[in-house]
Amino acid sequence: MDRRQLLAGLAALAAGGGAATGTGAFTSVNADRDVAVEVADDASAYLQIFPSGSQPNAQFASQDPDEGVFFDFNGSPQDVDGVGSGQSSVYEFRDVVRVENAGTQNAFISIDSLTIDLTDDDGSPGDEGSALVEFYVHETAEDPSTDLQVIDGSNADLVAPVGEQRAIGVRIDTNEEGTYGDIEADVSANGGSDTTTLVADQTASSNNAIDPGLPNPNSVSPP
Amino acid sequence: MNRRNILAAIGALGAGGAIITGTGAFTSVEANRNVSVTVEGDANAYLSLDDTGNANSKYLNTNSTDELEIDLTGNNSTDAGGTGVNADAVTVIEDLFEVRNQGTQEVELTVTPLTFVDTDGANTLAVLAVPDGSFPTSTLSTGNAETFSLVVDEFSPTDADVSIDSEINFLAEATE
Repeated sequence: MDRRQLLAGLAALAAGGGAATGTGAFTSVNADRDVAVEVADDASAYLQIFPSGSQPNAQFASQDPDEGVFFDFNGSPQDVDGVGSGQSSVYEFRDVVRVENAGTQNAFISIDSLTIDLTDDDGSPGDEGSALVEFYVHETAEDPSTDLQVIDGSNADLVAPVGEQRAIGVRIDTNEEGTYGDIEADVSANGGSDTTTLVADQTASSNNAIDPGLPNPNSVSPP
Repeated sequence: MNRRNILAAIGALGAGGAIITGTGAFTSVEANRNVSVTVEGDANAYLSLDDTGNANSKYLNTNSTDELEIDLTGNNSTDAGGTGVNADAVTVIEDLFEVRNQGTQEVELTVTPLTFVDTDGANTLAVLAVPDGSFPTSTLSTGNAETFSLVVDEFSPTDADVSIDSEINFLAEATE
């Protein structure tokens, strides 16, 4: 080996210092790794929420690209004359939306109940009363005669196994307040709106985790 | 050290094999010594990047060269068909991955960035990598690991096109 080669060897060994530490006692490791996150709409996200396909009550829910799923019990369903809930009544709308857990582990789902203060035709809130809106499942999904359980995370939570749909109904109770002001006979009924929150978690916030099983039909497609 | 550095080092060490012959006062000695270096996938490397063995490992991927990726996209759909995080929601992926010191001395781990943000008008997608132990750096003795969760916060008052396609850097340096 001539001197030139020797020097080259020294330089190479110095440059290769990192390799010596690489045999166990690493001095420094620096690694870049990819991170990619996309946002999916409600029908294809890890937690999927969508109107219940062609089920009759699915028409009370819609899917909006901006807002996600929203419920509307004010308008007139197709081919029906009704334009809203009556006063001093309890309405139950079964299987309005479906949730499907497209994550990787079972989850417990709860949806906040809402007390919506109603306003009359001119938009002014007053003694027009309020409506309690709750989200529920039947204890056995395929049997509507079984008890209804409000999945507000306090009374009960809904068990959502991976890859299966669960049907959620909406209950509107207008019994809570005594008066509903001057509700006119026509379409100028009292109304109101609010936003609820759905939570899917690894633990149930209530002590009452309900798995009603697959609804009938077991699976519907997002409209 | 990234793969390229390791490979460069291997090359350098090969070239430097002759140095052993240069240290003695011989006209010529030739001695061969074995040097073996194995390049491992992330899970088995001296600085191990791996899932934590829970169900959330589905949100990780390994690319063609065994490098770990955090992939919450339609390219890495869940078995149940989920293709991304929900809009207008906070998604928490607990204990998504861990960084383990499988070397021989204590290191200080720095992970950057810990936040990723994309905006489109008021629409915002924010991703936070949250270490379970200490923040912003972790001291890892041999065999110990730091676990990271992912918090994804999405707010989109209008139909938004926000996404993250970025890199996260892991730097581990010996404390002594």
